[in-house]
Amino acid sequence: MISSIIKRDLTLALRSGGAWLFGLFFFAVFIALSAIALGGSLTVMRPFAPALIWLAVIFSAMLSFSAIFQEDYQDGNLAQLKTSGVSLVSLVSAKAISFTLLSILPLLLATPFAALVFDMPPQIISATIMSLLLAAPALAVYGVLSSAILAGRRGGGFLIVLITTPFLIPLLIFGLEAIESYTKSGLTAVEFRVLIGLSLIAIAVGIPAAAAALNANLE
Amino acid sequence: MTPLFSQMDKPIRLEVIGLTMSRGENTLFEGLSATVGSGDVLWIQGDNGIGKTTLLEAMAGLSRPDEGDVFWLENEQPSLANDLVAYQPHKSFAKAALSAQEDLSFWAQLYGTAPNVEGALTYVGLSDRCDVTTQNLSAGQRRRLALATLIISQKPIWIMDEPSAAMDKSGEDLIDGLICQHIDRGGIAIIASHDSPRKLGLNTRKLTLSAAP
Amino acid sequence: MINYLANPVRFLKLSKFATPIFGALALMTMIWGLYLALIKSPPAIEHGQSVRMMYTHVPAAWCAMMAYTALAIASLVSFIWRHPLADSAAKSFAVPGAAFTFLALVTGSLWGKPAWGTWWQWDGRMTSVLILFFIYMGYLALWTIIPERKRAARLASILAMVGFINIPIIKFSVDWWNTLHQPASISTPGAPGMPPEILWPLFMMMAAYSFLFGWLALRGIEADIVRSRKSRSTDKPAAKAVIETV
Repeated sequence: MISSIIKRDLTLALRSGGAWLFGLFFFAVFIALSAIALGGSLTVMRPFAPALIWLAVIFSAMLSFSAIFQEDYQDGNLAQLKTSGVSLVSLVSAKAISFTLLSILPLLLATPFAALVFDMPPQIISATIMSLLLAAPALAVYGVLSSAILAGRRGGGFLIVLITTPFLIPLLIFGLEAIESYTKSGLTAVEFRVLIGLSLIAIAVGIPAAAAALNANLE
Repeated sequence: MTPLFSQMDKPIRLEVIGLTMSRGENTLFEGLSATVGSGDVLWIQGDNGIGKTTLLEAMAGLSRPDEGDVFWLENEQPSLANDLVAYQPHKSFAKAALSAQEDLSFWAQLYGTAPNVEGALTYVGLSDRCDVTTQNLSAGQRRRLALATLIISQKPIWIMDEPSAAMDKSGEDLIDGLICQHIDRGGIAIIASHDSPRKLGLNTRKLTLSAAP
Repeated sequence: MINYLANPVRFLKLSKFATPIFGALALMTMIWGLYLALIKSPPAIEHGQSVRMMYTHVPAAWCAMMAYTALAIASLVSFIWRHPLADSAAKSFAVPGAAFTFLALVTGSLWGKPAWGTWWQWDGRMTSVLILFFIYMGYLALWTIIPERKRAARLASILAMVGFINIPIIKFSVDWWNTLHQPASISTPGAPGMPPEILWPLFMMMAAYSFLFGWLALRGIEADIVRSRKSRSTDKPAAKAVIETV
């Protein structure tokens, strides 16, 4: 069941005329704007590069959050999925996976290119990708949760940012600390383990909460 | 491959007891009770906004009653709405970018029935439109696709919200034929409609919601 | 106990007595506390007169957290038992809770100017309170954006509970971040060895803020019950259902 839902989401995204790539364009625009705002000098920007990439990823993801359940709610697919007997936990998990594949993975793949324009050292590039990778599950889960809460609300875009920001702050903090510690202690740095922990907590708390929120929106 | 209309062996019953539903702060109806069993057809009639869709959603387990209960019984054992009910909403839920065949196959996979997707599409008269994306189907053809989804669900209780809207004459005949087949095999059909109710089985009833004076 | 109070009529009967008591206690402790804090207590050695800001700041921060705990508990009750009264309670805890959080931010900033020399420091405590304020705002915004009351209550309770689980995590993260990036900030009074002439007014102000919170929350619940009744009384009559054989 989960795989059918993911497969359909991917098919629909590929036929959407590239709409799923908008997040990637936003990521690129954010990086470019940051460079312009900071004056464009590599020596100035280099220390901030991981932070800017992290912010670009977080904002790009947040802008995609509201779309996760929007269409399925409005066209009646969610109600239909519920009556078809799919458990809402499976549905929410499927949506989190397809969100990771469609909205976060492209950003991770684009990160090395963003790193090039900031002239980041290779070590920092791999640390940045690693920290984003470990935080990706939590990012996806909180996206699905906020989208489930706001399914079908118009103008939920800003509110989604407000609702998810507090949950994303620990990720931002430990993601960037992990990059800093990577140069000293590599992947054994405690921050990477904390990131894994944060992702596990997000899954344990967020998936059932998102299922409950969907249920509340469907009853 | 299972036949399109396999026999339902177990007796099914849908029981509505003392149902009260509201929209916003307005109470739509109070203390509504009804029992529908295998082979029954129940038409639901009433003016726009009186609460037909809300009643259907409660019967489909999609809306939570303010008061009262809805029971879905299989073999006299309480069961879940999800296991017994197939719901056809008023609006088409087909994904615009998928072809009729793809859309139906998706639901067949979810229902987990051994699906006869081609058979169902042929039955509803869409065999030559299989590969057309649903956004290029007419409104009536999308209704037909929704009927095909009902068929492949293999669920005993069909709840339909104005199935004949946007349908031509042959479409209306198709609906009547489908419902007859379905109740013959021991299914239940509940239909909200503005048409005058037609007698489709031995036990056909209508539930009329009317504004209190 | 919960079941007994869950009936709104019974609750209103009880709150008719409880609310004025809370109000009076809040007023009395507030006057006494302010007298102790502003007049009787001595200025601190290293902070001077500005230490008096502490008596408004620390209880506000404390109340902000207490209000969120109450909000999370009410949300849990609302989620599990679907009590309309718990919905009213959760909503009524959130408004003063957000106000106290805002007050903590403002007083912290006012205190920061003489203590740190800047209006704001990204220290662990201030940052955590700021994030708590965001959480409150998100919660209250959710109530306003969803028109159907029951659904809003349910979704808001889910958000409140997830937020509650996240608060210690956020606190931990912010403290971690702060100790790595900030030089040890100026110590704030609040250490266990505080002399009684500071402890007493602080204690009194905490009691005053708590009673004030209780009074505001009770008023909020009462108003919410009345409001939801009023909107119900504009009902048009329910439809009539008739079943006939065709």
